[in-house]
Amino acid sequence: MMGEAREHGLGAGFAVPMVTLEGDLATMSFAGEQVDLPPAARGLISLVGIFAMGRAFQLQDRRKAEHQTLTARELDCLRWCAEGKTDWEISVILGISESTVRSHINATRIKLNSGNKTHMVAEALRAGLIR
Amino acid sequence: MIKIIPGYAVHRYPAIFDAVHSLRHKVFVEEMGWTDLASDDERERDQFDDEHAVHHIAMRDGVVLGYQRTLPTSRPHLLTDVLHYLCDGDSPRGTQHWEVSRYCVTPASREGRRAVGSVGSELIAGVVEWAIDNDVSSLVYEFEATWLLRAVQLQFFVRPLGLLHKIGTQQIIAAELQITPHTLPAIRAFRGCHAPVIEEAEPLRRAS
Repeated sequence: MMGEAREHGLGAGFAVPMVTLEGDLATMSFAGEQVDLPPAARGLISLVGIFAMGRAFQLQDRRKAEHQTLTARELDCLRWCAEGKTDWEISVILGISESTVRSHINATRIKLNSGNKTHMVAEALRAGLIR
Repeated sequence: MIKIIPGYAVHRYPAIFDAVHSLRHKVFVEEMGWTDLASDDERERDQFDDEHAVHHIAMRDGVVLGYQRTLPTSRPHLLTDVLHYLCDGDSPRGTQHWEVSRYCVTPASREGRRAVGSVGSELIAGVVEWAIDNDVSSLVYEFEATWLLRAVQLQFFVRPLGLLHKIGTQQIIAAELQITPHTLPAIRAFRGCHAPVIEEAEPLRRAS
């Protein structure tokens, strides 16, 4: 990996190690052709790394919070969609009409900002709503 | 549950405060090696444990498991009198800003080496509940750099007051943590527990 980075002009770098609230390890790296960091700048770069990571977590949480507005039924339909079931099959599984299934999926698709069913399932996976 | 005891009422809780000062000695002197705080009776006390301090004590079944202290920034406090070099400009002062110090949890109550456990997060929920009840808008901390990310994750608006300084083996930074409308919900969501944690709070000032 380091060799590949060098080919792209990244000869040296500075990593900021972090521990998250949940106790996970995280790191943010700064890289360039060469690194000239006086001690005071190291502290500053560490702060930049920490705040950038914090902001990234906040944005991720916000996205999750938006998705959490899915209703239980919408989640059911989404999960069955991800299993490859058709609208009709889902309607039989859940004991509701096919048009109700379609409207749940449509609502979910809009909430997940996606253009079609495949995109919706992909967004749901990315957001961790389904595995 | 968190018990809030202002400095003027400390004498009414001798057993609790014996446990508090013993925990502080254990954590700050014996564990973290702040030897200038060492005391022969193995109870750590400092010049700020006066009637203006407010003590926050995490208890389970009558046993002290965690502690933190808030000091009014309108009076001398750690950042003005002891750790002033951590602050590059003016530090926030006034009744709306309180300094939090001596945050600690008994070793047995720590869950894992790195994560913030339930007693630790209860103390954070407690100080924010207490702040909201007392019109305190921001908390001043001198803490390990690790806490910056945690504070941002808990939806505090974090303002560093200076750069990182090495104290002992730790990188310490002074920061002002402003409480936002999202802070308490974020702490409660992290804890998975939405009930208030303050069980008993004596008023900040003695009734006259």
